[in-house]
Amino acid sequence: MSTILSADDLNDFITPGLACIKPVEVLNPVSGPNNGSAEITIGSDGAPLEEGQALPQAQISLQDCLACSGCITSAEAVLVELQSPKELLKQLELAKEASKKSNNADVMNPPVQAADRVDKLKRHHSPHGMEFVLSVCPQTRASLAQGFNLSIPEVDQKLESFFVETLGFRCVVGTEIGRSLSLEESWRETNSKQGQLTLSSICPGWTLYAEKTHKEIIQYLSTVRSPQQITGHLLKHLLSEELSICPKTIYHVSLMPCFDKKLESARPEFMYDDAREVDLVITAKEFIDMLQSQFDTNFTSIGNKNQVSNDRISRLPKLWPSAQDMLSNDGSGSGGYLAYILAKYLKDSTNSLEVVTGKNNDFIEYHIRNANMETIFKGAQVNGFRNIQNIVRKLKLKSGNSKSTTAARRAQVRSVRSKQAQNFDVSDHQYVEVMACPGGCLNGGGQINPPADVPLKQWISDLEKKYQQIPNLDVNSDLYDKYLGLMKGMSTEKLLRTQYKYIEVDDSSVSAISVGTQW
Amino acid sequence: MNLVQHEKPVWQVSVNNYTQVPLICSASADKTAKIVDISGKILKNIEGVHDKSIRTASWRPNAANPVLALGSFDSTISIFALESGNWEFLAQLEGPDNEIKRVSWSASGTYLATCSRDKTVWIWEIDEDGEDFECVAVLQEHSQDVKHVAWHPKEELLASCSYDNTIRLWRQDDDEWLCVSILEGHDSTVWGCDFDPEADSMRLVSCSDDLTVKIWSMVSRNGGYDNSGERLPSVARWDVASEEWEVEKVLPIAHEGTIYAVKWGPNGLIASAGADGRIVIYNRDTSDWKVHKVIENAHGVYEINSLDWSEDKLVSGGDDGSAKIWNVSS
Repeated sequence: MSTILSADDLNDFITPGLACIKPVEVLNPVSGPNNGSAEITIGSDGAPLEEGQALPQAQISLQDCLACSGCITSAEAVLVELQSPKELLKQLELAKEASKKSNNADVMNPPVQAADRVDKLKRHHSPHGMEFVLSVCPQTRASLAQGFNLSIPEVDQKLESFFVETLGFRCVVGTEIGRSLSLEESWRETNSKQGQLTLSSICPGWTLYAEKTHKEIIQYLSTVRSPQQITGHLLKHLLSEELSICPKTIYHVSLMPCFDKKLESARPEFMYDDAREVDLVITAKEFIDMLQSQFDTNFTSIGNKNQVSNDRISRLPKLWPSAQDMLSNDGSGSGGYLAYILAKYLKDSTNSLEVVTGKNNDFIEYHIRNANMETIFKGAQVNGFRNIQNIVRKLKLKSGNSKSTTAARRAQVRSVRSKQAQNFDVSDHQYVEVMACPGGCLNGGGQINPPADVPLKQWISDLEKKYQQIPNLDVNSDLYDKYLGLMKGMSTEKLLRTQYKYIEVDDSSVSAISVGTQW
Repeated sequence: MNLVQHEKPVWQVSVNNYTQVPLICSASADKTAKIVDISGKILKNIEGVHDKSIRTASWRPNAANPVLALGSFDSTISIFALESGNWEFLAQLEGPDNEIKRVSWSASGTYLATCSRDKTVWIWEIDEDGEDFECVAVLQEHSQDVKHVAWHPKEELLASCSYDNTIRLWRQDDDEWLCVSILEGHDSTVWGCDFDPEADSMRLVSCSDDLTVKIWSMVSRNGGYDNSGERLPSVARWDVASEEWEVEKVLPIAHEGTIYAVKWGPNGLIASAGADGRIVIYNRDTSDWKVHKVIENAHGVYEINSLDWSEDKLVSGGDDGSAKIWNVSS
């Protein structure tokens, strides 16, 4: 386990279940002559040996966690082991070794065959045989700025300096391009649904929770891919085309505000050809811990790279849509999904916006009214598990899938009788931005914690200010068309959309639960 | 006297002291809950609502009609209300991951707290119609199974106790419920706790697998909840509230097995019971707490899971499937 990762850090506000219930599959090699019976002995180091051969250790992958109906997020050990900064360093090391070996081979056997020449050409662009790229989301940049009392440009320069100069990455990009595509696609999706409810799905904690526990809710989830995944898809496409290399030789690392983003990146559908769109997700917390433990330095002492601009542009994919500095988008610290849709309505200056504050700061309703003061759009921003519970509960009551209770029947009668809803009714909304963390993504579990003497609320409110200082990318339909044009005939469905499905409860889980039971 | 008999163990007994005639509910592993009067006459047998054991029951204070919350190992909570002579299945609450261990209404009847093996405590707020429930908090600070929740008789102060050996106290600050105190002192699972029913008292009794019954009292509080009026209400209060609670008294050791239940009666008596099948009544004479009475083998050779008071009568529920009522004079 990483030294800074405790169970607390991994708690992205939706707790994992007690025990992993995934039945572990052990790949049994074809048995030898003694027909399945084998003697298992314990080696001198305590490891079990079968006929003198080491037995493979049972391992659970992130994909297993995603496919399982057991715990809500996953076993922390799995997350930390498979997508840790150590894994990144291991990949860098492997790439270096591979490149050394092949260079030596080149010297001994000069390339004569065409295939080898192509191979060499490919390597021309990548001294290590692999291209490493980093994408950083605006929330993480704001967190680093806040955590180390730096300006956003200083953070960007230090990231560039560390990842490119020290680690040999090809380039560092922001996620605002991916996010802009995600925002515009979300608007198009909502608009096409003719008043039907859409629940945002870019929070992996929330979507996993819905997939594992609330069958009735899945139909409402937006099918738009997240900025993280779209960015990955774009990077792999543009770089592999431009450098004529296999997408698998591009290693894409994403700096994100939350641990559940690791699970998202591991979803089997998030592939570009046969390469993962995102190979590794690390959080701000893990990143600064890596600097400390592996490089014996801290973020502030990384040099600023001042000549950034030109240099930086030369390393970006040539067709990367934005060669400017990394940007952000308008609206909430969770990406501004609802704000983007509201802005579309408010382009018509006869429309007006009404903000209705709910029971708490993490529950805010936004209504758009037309010139006749009729409500033409209802949206809400809902953060945190307790508020999620309430929208899930309302939707379940509406779907009639819960048990028939007196209150549910009366509620039906009431809503028929009076059109004016006294209470919040999520089912008459068109778009709800849902995030599992109270305060949204800025308060993600992977963000840098406040010092002991600074209260969390204060910290988050200051962080929000930092975040809002990042200049915004002006998104419009032209931009969307231009970006998609760059994908040259590629399926926009594949780039921008995904699917969610209910994960059936496995009956074998019952026995697993009772094993861990303490009354 | 035997009040009621279930086919399987009785997990909890709960007395409704808010009605003219006390109503007693017994929640059982046989998936039913029975509502009886003090003579044992069955007024309602609730069955077919929960798929697994009904673990817990709580009556809502301050309600015009009797309202009952039940919590089950099937991870759901059901609400029943007596309306024009009928027991209506009013609502069902879902949310916690697994077994509900305890449900408890706040003194005002506004909040329902539930706790579960999933280590969480949920607080639900009921609307004025008494029909719509909203989750206002999911408290995830216990590191293990949460066994029990109990409210203060006057203030909106909640106590939860756990397999992690601690008791935690919770209060509302702005729109958040925050842990204001962690009571550490038991060496093993804290199975139950109960506030002193005196409205102005700040005392709590707890029972544990470590065979002790302890009385805790508040010694200081600071931050957040200063309502003295010296502070301008518009000034943001960033200071986090906290309270200090200390063990005031360890009651005389009187059990030989895990103590599952403790209940502080309106008559000032404290009752405890548990795995040794013994009910122990403690009273306070002049200055010190003494063992007042011991009922051996109250449910035969079976363990006792729950206790509740109705005036001078004590109700107990045990693994023999029975709920019994005892006269206890102070």
